[in-house]
Amino acid sequence: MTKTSLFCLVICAAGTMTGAAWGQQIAVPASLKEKGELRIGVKCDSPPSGFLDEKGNPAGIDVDIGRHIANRAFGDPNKAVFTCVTAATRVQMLASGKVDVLFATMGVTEERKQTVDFATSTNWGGSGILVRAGEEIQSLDQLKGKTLLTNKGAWQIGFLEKNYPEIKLIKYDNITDAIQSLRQGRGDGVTQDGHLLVVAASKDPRLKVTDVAFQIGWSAPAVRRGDTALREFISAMVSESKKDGTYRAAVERYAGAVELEERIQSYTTLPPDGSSDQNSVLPLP
Amino acid sequence: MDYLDFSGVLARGDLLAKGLLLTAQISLASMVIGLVIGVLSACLTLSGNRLLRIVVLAYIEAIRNTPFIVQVFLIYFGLPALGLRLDPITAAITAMSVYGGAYISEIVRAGIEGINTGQIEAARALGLSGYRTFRHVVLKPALAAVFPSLSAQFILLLLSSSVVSAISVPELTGVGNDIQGMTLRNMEIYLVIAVIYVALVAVLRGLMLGIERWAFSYKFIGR
Repeated sequence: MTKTSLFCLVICAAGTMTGAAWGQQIAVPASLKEKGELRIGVKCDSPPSGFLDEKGNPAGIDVDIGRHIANRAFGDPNKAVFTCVTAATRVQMLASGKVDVLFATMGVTEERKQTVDFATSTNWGGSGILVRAGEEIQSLDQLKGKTLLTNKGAWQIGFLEKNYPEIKLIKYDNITDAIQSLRQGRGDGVTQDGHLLVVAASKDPRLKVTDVAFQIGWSAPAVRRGDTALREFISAMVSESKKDGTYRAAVERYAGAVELEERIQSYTTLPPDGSSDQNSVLPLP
Repeated sequence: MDYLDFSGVLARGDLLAKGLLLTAQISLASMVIGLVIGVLSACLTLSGNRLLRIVVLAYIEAIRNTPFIVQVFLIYFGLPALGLRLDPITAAITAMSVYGGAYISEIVRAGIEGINTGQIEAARALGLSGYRTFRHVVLKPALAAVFPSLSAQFILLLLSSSVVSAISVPELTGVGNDIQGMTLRNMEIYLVIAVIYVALVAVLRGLMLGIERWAFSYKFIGR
């Protein structure tokens, strides 16, 4: 056997094995095949991740990825059925079987891992602070004795209550109400994931995002505890979407020009502190 | 998710206790203010002044025909447009009092209208002043007659306090939402909260029965 033919054989074998392994990774779970659709819980008040478009239909990065996954699973993007969820309702919607997976800006914490199974993380991001234009805040220490607004279920709450108990927190049902309250002077700032705040600031010249960034964390899709097949399928699809440019296209479509490259990086690279996705089933690209 | 785990919820019992206390405080404040608004409104709807009657009836209809959550948002987010910015707890008590007052007004009005006019005429014949006639012959028997309905309305007012968590009031439901956000244990936290509400209602019902026995003791003679 010549060196060339041996090389070809090795390459073919490697290709076949890789293809088989990849095929295994993205095998559609039997339970999903039976249903014939993928029911996804998404946020409808958190642009660019999930929001309602002019016609009142779910749109956003998570929605595009959901359609992409449905297309890969069933050959039809419309087999993705979206349900609006909130921080308060999302887990119950999942537990009761009303949705199969949550793509709902869900921050990964150790305590939450006891309740749901997280797939490979979709993106990382720092928490940020939105203030009224003209106000300067250089650090969280400046906010001691002041009031920050946020939404119930935000993972920033735990961090701030533990590390900055002097900061008063007011929690609303959704981030929109928190931002409206900031406009009305009910607090000194709004805290949430930085990329959500950037979008809010871009729509209102009275608001701006400060340079204060803290607590890098991961957001990930969640499935019911023990649903290993679906978790691995979603993980494989998320990883594939990062590699094939689907995520990049979705971010470009919904994020607009504001900090676009930083946003794309948050979906496609590791964070600057080098922390890896603690709950990956597959390694991040 | 196939089993109940209350550890994360019970570990935050101090938060639940604070929420429970605030629920009790805003509910009691709203009941007292709502009762005052209700009695005044009931009297005004029966007054001879047509303009006052129309204004009060318009208020009652507006409150009874709009969802409570909308009223809460109008007071909290709407009033700043008119230059009046209330903090969450003040806004909650205001909304609950205005809401409760409209329903209490209709209950009290029904009680007043149920008073026999012969009793009022007898009081006047005995030389009682208008104020004393109203207080002892009209209002007290009217309240005695409708007290069970008032008690039910107060219970509804207590339960409606859960809505004000939407404007960031850290009452029982609001605190429950916070704990749910931390633990993701929806079923457990809302079961615990439901039990606490049942206990709160039982306490309120007992309290109302005690007030009824004290204020209208003649109703219980021979029982």
